[in-house]
Amino acid sequence: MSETERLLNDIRVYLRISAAAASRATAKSVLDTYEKALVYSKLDGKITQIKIQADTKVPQPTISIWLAGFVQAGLASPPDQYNPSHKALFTLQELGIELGTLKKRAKAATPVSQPSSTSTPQAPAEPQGAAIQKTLEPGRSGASIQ
Amino acid sequence: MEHQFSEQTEILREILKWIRFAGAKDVKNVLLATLDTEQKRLIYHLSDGDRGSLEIAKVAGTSDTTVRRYWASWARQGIVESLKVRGGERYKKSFELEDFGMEVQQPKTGEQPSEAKQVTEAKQEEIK
Repeated sequence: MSETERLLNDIRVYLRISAAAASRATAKSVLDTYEKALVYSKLDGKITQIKIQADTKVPQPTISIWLAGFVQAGLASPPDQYNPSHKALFTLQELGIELGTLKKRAKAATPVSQPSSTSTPQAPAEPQGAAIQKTLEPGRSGASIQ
Repeated sequence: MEHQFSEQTEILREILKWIRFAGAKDVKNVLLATLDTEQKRLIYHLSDGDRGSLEIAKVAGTSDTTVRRYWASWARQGIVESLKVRGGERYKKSFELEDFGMEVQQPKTGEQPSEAKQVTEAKQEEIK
């Protein structure tokens, strides 16, 4: 490695850590659900939205909106001459986001229908995809481009 | 041409100096949060790109699987760099813990200061 390469590499390492630290608060609010964080973790600059949909079960139109939000928040870069698809600028770990914690939180927030002898009707549990799609409806929170 | 090249290197060195200064706190926070045990600090310290996971595991008193698991996690954190070596991948620390006032307990086997450490000391001198 030449002197120039070594210097540039050191500059990149420091800048990356500083940028990740500066983006943590934003990341916490933007990647606030397990599904969003999961989609973000897939952004390697090459993967297609259809493939992300297949991997995560999040509908492609939702993915498209989320990706625009990630770019706007400075957490991902849009497709360019070097990367045909969106690319995450950081790893989840750099941003202090743990998929496991978000998954547990999502599970805890999901109401569990208790078998009951009373006649009170319980709402049936929604499939994951339907729940995500719902967040896209106007007037609901969670899917806005931030 | 050569003069221009050395001037550019000087500018890069200057940029790096200020970036190091500005980013030191963030880097230290990440290192403190990530390397939260003596063993992790020792494994990180020994990860100089020359030593393999087996050698480091032996000195740190753990398995090479643990060393490799830490390396993978630290790579995602951005505090080590991967190096391709014959027969696999090895990781090299991006920072010297001593530069951030973090002490490393030397192994009882009497580990000698690595070449990388000496290089860093020389780098520090250079910055001064």
